Amino acid sequence: MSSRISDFGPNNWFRNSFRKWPWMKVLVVTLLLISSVCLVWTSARTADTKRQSGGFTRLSGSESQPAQYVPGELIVKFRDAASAATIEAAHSAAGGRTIKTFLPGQSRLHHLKLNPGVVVEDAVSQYQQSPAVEYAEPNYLYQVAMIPNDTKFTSLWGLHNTGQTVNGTVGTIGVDIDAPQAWDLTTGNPNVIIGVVDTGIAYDHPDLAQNMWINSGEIPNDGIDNDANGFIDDVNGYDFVNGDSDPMDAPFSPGGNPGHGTHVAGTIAAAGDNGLGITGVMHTAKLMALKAGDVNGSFPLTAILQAEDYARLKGARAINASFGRSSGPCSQSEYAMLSALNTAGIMFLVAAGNDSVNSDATPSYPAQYSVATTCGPGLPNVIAVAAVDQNGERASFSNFGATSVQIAAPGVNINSTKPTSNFTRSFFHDYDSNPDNLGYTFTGTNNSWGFTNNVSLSPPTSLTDSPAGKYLNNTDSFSTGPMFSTLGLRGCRLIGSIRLATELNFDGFLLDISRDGGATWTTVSGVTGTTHGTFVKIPFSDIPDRSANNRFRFNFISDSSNVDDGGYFDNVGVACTAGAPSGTTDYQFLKGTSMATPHVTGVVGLVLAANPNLNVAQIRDAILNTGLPDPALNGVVSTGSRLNARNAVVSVVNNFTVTVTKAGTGTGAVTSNPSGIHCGATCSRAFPSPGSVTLSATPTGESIFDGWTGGVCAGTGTCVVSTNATLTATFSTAPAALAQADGGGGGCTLAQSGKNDALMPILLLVILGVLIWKVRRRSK
Amino acid sequence: MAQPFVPGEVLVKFKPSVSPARIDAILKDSGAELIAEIKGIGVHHVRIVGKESVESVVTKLSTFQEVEYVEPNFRFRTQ
Repeated sequence: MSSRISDFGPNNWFRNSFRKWPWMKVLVVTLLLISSVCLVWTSARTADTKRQSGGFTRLSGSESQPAQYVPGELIVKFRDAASAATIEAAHSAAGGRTIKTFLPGQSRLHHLKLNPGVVVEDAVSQYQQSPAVEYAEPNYLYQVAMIPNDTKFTSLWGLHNTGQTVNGTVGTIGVDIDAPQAWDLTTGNPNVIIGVVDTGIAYDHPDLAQNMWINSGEIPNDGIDNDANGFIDDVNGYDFVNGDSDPMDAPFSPGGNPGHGTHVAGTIAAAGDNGLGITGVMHTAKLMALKAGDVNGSFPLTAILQAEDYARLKGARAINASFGRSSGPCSQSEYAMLSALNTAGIMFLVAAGNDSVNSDATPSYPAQYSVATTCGPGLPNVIAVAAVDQNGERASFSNFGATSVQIAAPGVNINSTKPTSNFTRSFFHDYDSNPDNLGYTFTGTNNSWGFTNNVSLSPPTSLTDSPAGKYLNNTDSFSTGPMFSTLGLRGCRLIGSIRLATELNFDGFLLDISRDGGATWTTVSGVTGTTHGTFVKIPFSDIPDRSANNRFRFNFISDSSNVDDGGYFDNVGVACTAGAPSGTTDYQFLKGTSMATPHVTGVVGLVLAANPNLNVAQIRDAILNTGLPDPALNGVVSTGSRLNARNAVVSVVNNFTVTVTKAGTGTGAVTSNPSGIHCGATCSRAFPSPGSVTLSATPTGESIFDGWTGGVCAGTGTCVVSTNATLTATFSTAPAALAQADGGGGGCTLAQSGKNDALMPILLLVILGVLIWKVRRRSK
Repeated sequence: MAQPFVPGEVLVKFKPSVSPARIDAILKDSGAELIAEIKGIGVHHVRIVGKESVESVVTKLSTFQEVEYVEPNFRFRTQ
């Protein structure tokens, strides 16, 4: 305090007056104190106003996503004329020190470190008051939109198109869904369950495993339906094609399922920012593997319906449907199920189809349920998706429809996750040595099954319905193979080579599978027509996984007219997935409206992560009303727009507001993580919901933090808030509080709210009056 | 190679008031047997016991007044 007084040195009248009237000293100090308080208080208010009006250079952030900066640091530009002494004075007043100077030779731009407990925004105010300072600002973290570190990220043009060449094609800058900009708001949420009704998912892919849904009600592999939902050991989902617990995506390439479901799943929610492979539209989600499509890429409606009902009962918020049929009328059972999903608030994102046709005239189902059909009115939860290429044009294969397709999304040269190609065999029959000992039995009407080596292009021996030449009319015969086990195996599929010559659609082979040793059979696939005299390697069907007593049989059926050479089978065996996919090599490019659809599903997931309480109409609006209009899409989709993740998320973000009031005679600051509150100057701030904010109270000087009041938090620890909240932080004075205030270090935080504007000076004047009275009495 | 619907199977939806016994009788009369009921929508997934075609069984079942609708087990493809 004495050093402060000595600043008035030259004025002897003052000094003499102090000696003469000791209370005068108290008066001056107190007046100084008042002016100091009001000065800083005013400047703090000014800073706040400037911030609200954009006075601070806001390099990123918004009301819901505050700008971030390095705590405890500042950037200050001193005036050219400022002396070392005035710079030092500014440091001492604000509580900072230079750790680095920029622009060598000028030494005017300083990078500062603040003393512990000094709040950035308070220090900005302090420095700005110094005549030595040209400007002072926080050390902003320059946030560009979030680019994740996944190694193949630059191949994901659909998420972020910089005009890069992907899979040999040059793209156009900005033809994407603005995923990184959306990720500034949300990257997903592990509570958002997405049902993937597809060919299964390679759930052990290193880029998918952490985002797989896990049925908490089920104990893996105990053979018991623990959650009593009718499905045993359904841990990641279920295989509704084969009726087994393993929804592994069984690949067969070329010509069969390429790993379709695994690709779709990766686009929705491959793990993001994990330094591996790709990222999905959602970095984080829960993918429910609902296998309804087989190794041929064929989906029976009954498997789809069961899968959809499962998703409904197990809490999925959205279902990806990258499948369709372009023949037949609408299906009433399918419509009834989608209607039930709509009632349950579940979005259904569906591929428009790959037939290059106008869906308004040539419908594809289930896409067509997005508009009225003879089965019922259009369903608001159904959105049909067309595919666009890297330059924003409709993909040549994509269906379109000015009413029946609603939005376009990236669907060409899409890179995503792939199942492993490694397999292990349950059995393999080349029929070349002792085929009679393999255990085949031949039965049925006009049965003439046997082994032959008289087909010229065959490997030595093959299995055939008619070794002697042409088959007979009215045949219904069976070749039943030996029992085999898939215990401990997964992703099993029956594959082989076939040379086929039958009357198309009238004569042919059905494949039947039994999982009870041959007591009951299910027809799983069929072949008819011709392979033009050559053996073709095909996937016959999926095989139940983890099953001990399986058999397969070929059922040859011919009608009463026209005969041909029949079928020859070779290298028949069951292959099952071996080991997990590679996080570096098991990725592939695919195209299709199937690939466009999961982009929309992923954005629905982001929208739900940002706001879990939306209903179907709100989600539909968030997707369809926020797309980026593109003239190339006029007449292609009803919105004329391409999906935009950023706009969709922004349209649904909710905020909650946290307001902090400081009380007590002490001083201190309240800060938040994420940043936004620095009270200090900024005591109220909106944060994105859902989310939480951790508040920390730090007393300054010798004050102490007494604790939180207001009902949200108590005690003196940090305070976590996730809804609208108003709370008070009380700081009390340590004995040397007056000295602290006099030190000018930042005790000027008493008056924060408007109603104290008049109260504050009055309070101080009352204190002053009491002090003067006391000192006068004592000096008498 | 794949047909537009699964051979030997159909889906039947019975009107709400129809008793389980009557459902069994209708299925038997039509040469079909229950595989499973799809719970969420109360649709019966049935197998054709004999060699009758899907079209024929669909026609036969749809003549019963107790049947709300009957349709093939359509096949879909990846897109």
